[in-house]
Amino acid sequence: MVATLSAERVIPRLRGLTFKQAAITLLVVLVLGVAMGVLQLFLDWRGMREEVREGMERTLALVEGSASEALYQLHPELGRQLVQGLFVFDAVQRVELRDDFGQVLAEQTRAPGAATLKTGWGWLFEDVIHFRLPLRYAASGATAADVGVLEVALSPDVLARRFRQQAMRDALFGIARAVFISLLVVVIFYFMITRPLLRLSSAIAGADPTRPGAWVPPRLAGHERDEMGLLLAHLDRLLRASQAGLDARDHAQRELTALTQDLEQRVQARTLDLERALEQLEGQKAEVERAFAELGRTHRRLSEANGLLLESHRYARRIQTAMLPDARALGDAVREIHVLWEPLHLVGGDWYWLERRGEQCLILVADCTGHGVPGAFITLVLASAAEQVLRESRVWDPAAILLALDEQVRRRLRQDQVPEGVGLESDDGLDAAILLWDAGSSRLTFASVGGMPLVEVAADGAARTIRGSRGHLGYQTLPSPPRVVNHPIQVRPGAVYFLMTDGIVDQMGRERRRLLGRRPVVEWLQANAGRGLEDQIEGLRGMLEDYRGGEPRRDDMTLVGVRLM
Amino acid sequence: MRAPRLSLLLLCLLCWPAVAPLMAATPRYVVGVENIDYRPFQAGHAGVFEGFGRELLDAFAAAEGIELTYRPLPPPRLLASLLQDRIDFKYPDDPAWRADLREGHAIRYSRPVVGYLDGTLVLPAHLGRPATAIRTLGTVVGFTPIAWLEPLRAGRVMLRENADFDALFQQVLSQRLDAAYANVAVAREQSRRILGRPDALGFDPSLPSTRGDYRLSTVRHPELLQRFDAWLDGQAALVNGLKRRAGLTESE
Repeated sequence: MVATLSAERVIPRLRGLTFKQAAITLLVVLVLGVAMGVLQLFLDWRGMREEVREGMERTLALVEGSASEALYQLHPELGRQLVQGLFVFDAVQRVELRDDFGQVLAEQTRAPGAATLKTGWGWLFEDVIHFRLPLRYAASGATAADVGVLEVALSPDVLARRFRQQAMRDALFGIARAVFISLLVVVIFYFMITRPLLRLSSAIAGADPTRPGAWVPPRLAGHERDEMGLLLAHLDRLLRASQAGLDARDHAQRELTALTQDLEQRVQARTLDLERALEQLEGQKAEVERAFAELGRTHRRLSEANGLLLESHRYARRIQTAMLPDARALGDAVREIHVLWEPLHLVGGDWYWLERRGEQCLILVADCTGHGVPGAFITLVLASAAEQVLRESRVWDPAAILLALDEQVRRRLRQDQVPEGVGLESDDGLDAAILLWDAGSSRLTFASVGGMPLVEVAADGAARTIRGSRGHLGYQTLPSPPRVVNHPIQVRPGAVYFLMTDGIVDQMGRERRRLLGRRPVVEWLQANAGRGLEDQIEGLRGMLEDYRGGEPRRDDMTLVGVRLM
Repeated sequence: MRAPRLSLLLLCLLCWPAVAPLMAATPRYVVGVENIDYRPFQAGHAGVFEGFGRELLDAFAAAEGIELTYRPLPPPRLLASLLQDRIDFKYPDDPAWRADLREGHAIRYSRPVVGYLDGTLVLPAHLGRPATAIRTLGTVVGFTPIAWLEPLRAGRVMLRENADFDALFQQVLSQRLDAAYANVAVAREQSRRILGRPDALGFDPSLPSTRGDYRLSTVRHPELLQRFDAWLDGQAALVNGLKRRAGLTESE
C-alpha cells in the first residue's frame, strides 16, 4: 500500500476559506458602508436643510402676493385661507400673518399629534425652521409700502422624523447591499479560487511521498494561464525536482555505505597499529616516570640545599649589617647624612664606614672585588684593616689612610708573600674613597683610589665631580697606587656631597639597552637639589628602578650623601 | 446798543428766504378715503379720490385756506391708520362702524355730512321673503353689515365677503348668495354701471337695514373739525347743491 502525503482532513466550515472570505468581505463592506453611510447621512442632512429652506422660500414667494393683498385689504378671511393653505405642508407648525399695525390678521398652530412628538433629533433642524417674510404692497399709482409680515415656523421634529426615516431606509439598504455583495464575492471566490484550490489540495494529498515524480497533476479547466495554473506548474516541477533529489540521495547513500565500510576496514587496521604503538609508549612512559621521580628527588635535595644556603646568606647579612656603622655616628658634626646600601644579593662587596674623632668626621666608602659571599668576605677583611688603620693613625689623612689600607689588605690576604704569577690564592682588592670633614676648621678633604668620585651638588643646583687617583687597593697582580692625592674642598653652605660605588651608575636600561652612566645621575641630583636629602636618595632609587624596568640589577649599590653645613 | 440791533436785522434778512416759505405755506392734511368705487358718494378705486366727498372736502379746504391730500386705502385700513396717526382725517366715518375697535380712542366726529341707507338687496323675485330665508349674506370686503350682526354672531347667517360689487352682484344673481348687503344708492349706481340696469337687485325694506350719516373724523385735529362743522352750517346751501348734483337724496 502506498502512503499518501496526508490523510484527507475535513476543514471545519468556520475555518474554511469560503467562510473567512465571506466574513472579511462582509466586515469590509459593512465598515465601508458605515463610513459611506455616515458621510451620506451628513450630506443628506445638509441637503435636506437646504431643500427645506429653498422649498419654504419658494412657497412663501408663491403666497407672497396673496398674503400682501390680504394684509393690505386687512381681509381676515383671505388671510385665514392663506394660512390654512400653508398647512398642507406637514412640517408647518405655525403660521402667523401680522399687519403693519401690529395686529394678527390670521394665525394657526398645528395641534399636537403623532407627527409632532419629540424625536430627540429636532436639534438637527432648529436653525432652519423659522421663516419671516416682510410683505409690501403697491396700490395703483402708489409706491410699495410695508403692509405686514408672514411668519412660518416649521416643526423640527417632523423634519427630524422625515430625516430619520430616510436614514433608516439608507441604512437598511446599505446592509442589504453589503450582504448581497458579500454573497456575490463569496460565490465568485468559491468558483474562481476555493474550488480549484480544493481540487489541487485533494490531488496533493493523494501524492506518494516516496515517489513524488509519479504524481499526476489535476486538470484545472480555465486556469491554465492564471496564477492557479502557475501554482500547479510550479508544484509539478517541485515534485519532479524532489524526485530527482530523492534519486540523488539514494545514490549518495549507497556510495556512502560503501565508503563507510571501507573506512571501517581502515580504522580496524589503524587501530591494531595504534594498539601496538600504545604498548610501546606504555613502556617508555614507565621509564619517563621513573626519570621524573628521580628528577623530583634531586630537585627536593636542591631545594633543601638552596634553603640552607639562603639561610646562611641571611645570617651572613645580619653579620655584615652589624658591621656597618650607625648613621648617627657623626652626630651634630654634619647637618644631614643619609646612606643607601643595597647589596646585589643578601650580602655584598660594598662597604662603608662612619667615624668621628673630635671635630673630625671620616666617611669611607669601598667597593670590594665581586659581590655576594666573596665580596662580603673581602669587606670583612677591609673592615678589620680599616679598624686597625684608623685606630693607629694619630692624624687622619685620607690619602695616607688609603695607602695604609692597601698595605693591610695585601698583608692580610698574604698577597705580599706570593711571587707574581705563581699560584695566586687571592687576587682580590677594592676601590675606596674617603671624605674627611673637620667641623672645627670647616675643612673638607677628599681622596679616592679606583675611580670612585666625589659629586658636589650646590643648593642652587650647580654640580661638579672631583675624581680620585688612578689604581686600585689590594690585588696581588696589581701594584699599589704610586700616589694618592688629597683634594681639599671649599665647602659651600647647603651643598650636598655624594660618594657612590659604580653599582649606582652601572644600571642596564630596559628600553635603551645601555648603561646609565654617571652624567644622568648627576643631572638628576641637580634637578632635585631643592628636595631634602633623604627624599633625594629615595627619589634617585626610584629613578634607577624606572630606568632598569624589568632588567635585573648588576652590582651592589652604595651611596652616601652628606650636607655638611 | 446799535450794533446788536443791526446784527439782528442782518440775521433776519439772511434767514428770510428760508423762513418765508414756511410762514407762507398752506397747512396740509392727509385725509384717508376708501379705495373702492362707492359712487355716487365717492370713488377711490382708481387711485384718485373723486365724487361728492371730494367736491365737498375741496370746497371746505378752499374756504379755509388749507390743503387736503387724499389717500385711498382699503376700508379696513382706514380706521387703523387713523388710530395710529398715519392720516389726519378719515372720510367717510360713522361711530357705529367697528365700535369695538374705537373703544378707548378719542376720535372726534363732525356733524353729519350726508345720510346713507345700507340695506339688504335680493333678487326681485325674492322681495318680501322673511329674514329667516336669508342664510348666506354677501358684502364687499371691508363693509360691515351692522344690521345683520346679531344673526351673524348667532350663526344663523353666513357672511361671504366679495372683492367688489361685480362679484357681489354675480354671486346673488347666480343665487350662490341669498342676499347682498350694501349701500342702497351705491348698489343701484353699481348695478347700472355693471349690469346696465339699476334694479338688477331690489332693496327689500322689510329686511334688516341701517340708516346713518357719513361724517368726517379725526384724532389729532379737533379744532379743524370744529371749523368744518361751522363751515357746514354756514355753507348748507352749497352742500345741498353738491348732494343734488351727485344724485344723493335723503331717502337713500
